[in-house]
Amino acid sequence: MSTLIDVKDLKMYFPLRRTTLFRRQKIFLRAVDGVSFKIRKGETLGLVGESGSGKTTLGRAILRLIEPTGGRILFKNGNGETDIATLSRKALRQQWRHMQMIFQDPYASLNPRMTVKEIIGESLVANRLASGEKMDKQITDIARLCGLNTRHLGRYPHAFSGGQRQRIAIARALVMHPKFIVCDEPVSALDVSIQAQILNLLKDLQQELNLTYLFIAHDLSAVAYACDRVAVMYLGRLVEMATTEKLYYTPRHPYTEALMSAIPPDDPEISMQQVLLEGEQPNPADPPPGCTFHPRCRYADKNICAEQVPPFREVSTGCFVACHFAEELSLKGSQEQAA
Amino acid sequence: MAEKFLLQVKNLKIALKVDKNFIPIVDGVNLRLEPGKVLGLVGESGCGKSVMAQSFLRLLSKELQIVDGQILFYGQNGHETVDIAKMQPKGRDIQSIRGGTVSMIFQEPMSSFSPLHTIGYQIMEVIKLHLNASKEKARKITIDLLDRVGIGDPGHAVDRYPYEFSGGMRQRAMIAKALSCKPSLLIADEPTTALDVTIQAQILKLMRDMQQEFGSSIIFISHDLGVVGQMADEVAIMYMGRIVEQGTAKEIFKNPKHPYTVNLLAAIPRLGNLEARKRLVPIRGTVPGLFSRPSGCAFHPRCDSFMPGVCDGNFPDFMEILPDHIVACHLYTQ
Repeated sequence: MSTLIDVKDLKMYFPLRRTTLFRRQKIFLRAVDGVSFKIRKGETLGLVGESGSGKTTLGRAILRLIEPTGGRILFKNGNGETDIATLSRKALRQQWRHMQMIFQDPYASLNPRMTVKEIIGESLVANRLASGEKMDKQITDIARLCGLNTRHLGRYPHAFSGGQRQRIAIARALVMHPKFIVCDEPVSALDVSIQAQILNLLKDLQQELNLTYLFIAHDLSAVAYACDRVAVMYLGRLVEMATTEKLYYTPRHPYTEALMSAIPPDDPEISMQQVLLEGEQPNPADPPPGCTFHPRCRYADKNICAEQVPPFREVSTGCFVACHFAEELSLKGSQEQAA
Repeated sequence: MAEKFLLQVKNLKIALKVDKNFIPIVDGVNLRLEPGKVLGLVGESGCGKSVMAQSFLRLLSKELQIVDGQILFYGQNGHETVDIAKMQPKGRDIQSIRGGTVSMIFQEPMSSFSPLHTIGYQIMEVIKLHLNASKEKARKITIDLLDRVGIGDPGHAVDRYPYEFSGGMRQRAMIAKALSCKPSLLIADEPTTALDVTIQAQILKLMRDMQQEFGSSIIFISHDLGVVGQMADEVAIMYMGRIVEQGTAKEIFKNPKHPYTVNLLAAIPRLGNLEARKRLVPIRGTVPGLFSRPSGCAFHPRCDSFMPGVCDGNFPDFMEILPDHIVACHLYTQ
């Protein structure tokens, strides 16, 4: 499978000002700190991590909704290759036709003063892609594909339920026939029965329109269902990336193991294993030296882990881990926890 | 053993007053809770689970009124039985219960503490009121509690403000506050929904440990079936203001009977068979609005086993399929 997006050493620093007794110091919060990975054409790559790990920032930086501090984002469209990170504003607007975003909260992401038709058609108007009857047809086609009742397109968002609103947001993202979509927690604001509808819809649309997704979520079971591969983020860095089965059943990074152990089992008769992770995520503005996970890691070695930053390397085909001891450790996956 | 039950809810009806109409939110709920047990209350948003839980402490806003039914709280250790539904919401009776023998953990650890007072002050307030303790004694109890719920350096943490705590720490402090007077009933309304998975696992473990130590009963409200399966002895499934199925956690998960429960379990992604990557089976449609409650069994417009003329007629009676497993569905009334 060919690569669609190639992210190289992406950095997103936010300046924080801190005043000490004598002088003002400029400190950076490293929300995304040198992240490299590839997204293949037609796949769904999951991105998981605790809140504050930088996953939403990474998703936004890839689309350049925020200006990254450094790194390259190569977007391979057709034969050409564009570096999103260095495009001019005008050229970027052109590229946004091919890359879109679905936001977490469908109650906040739709303009309450616009009708559904205006919301879905706005990007067509802004990009002068269609007008008149042709535009109407495009809007109704995409709305039907997303499971919306086309007779209700003249209504305002307040008349729709959460699940329906998320369908509107999906239709808006798809109307220009993009190649790549960043889904930032697309189902976490929805009820369980509606979540399943939206997850199924995203899957159907992917097959029909040949889409590529970056699926950002903290719900590990939804990610397992939706994604082909999953990347785990901790304090601005990727710690592991592998196929969904490998990551869930045979994790290679201690943090992934801890995440998997925290998923409540399907069966109430199986009691949850002991909690593998004590304490909380450190302050991202002041991360620990070396491997940022070492203060909470039960396998950490005092010398190596506290001093050297582990490289994000391929330990077996398609399996990337940032841990000094990835080869030596044998870790438990979610399946063993359940069995 | 004084009483068999700790709490018994009989035909509870709560309605929302809109203009001059009453819209039913909780529509005839019967519940029983034994001392020391954990009851999981599951349902989608808007099904009335939080409203019902808040009514147990009479925390409802003015527009929500208890129109019928009883909430019998059986006092343990010689206290008399009281009907919470009959009490004045601002009266002395409920205030002696609220935070003392019955306490609550809220969903949002960010907004459930006052930002103007220290964590310690807010916990001590409860202890001083209910246990008649002196300031020094209350402070000692508070520090001890903060230590027990796993907050580091409790001697200093007691004087900190909520903004200095992270979400997980605030929820720990909330648990300390709720347990400060050794309540016989703890109502936990989505206590881990706002937290990350690893922190959620820590908080669930803490609640289980504390429950065993204090012997409290818990009403555990959540929409996350996995979490409820881990916490609860017994599970009640709620849909549009009514309980549709209730049984032991094992029965509900292994042998669900009501179509809504069956569908709900099929709609959640499971980790057991990732290779198969089965399609999720969503429930058709959405929860109807409060103003358009379907006749008969409220689930019938979304139900695959809908029987015309039966399901849209009247609400099905509860049938006891097995001991301790009841279901309200016309499929089982024949």
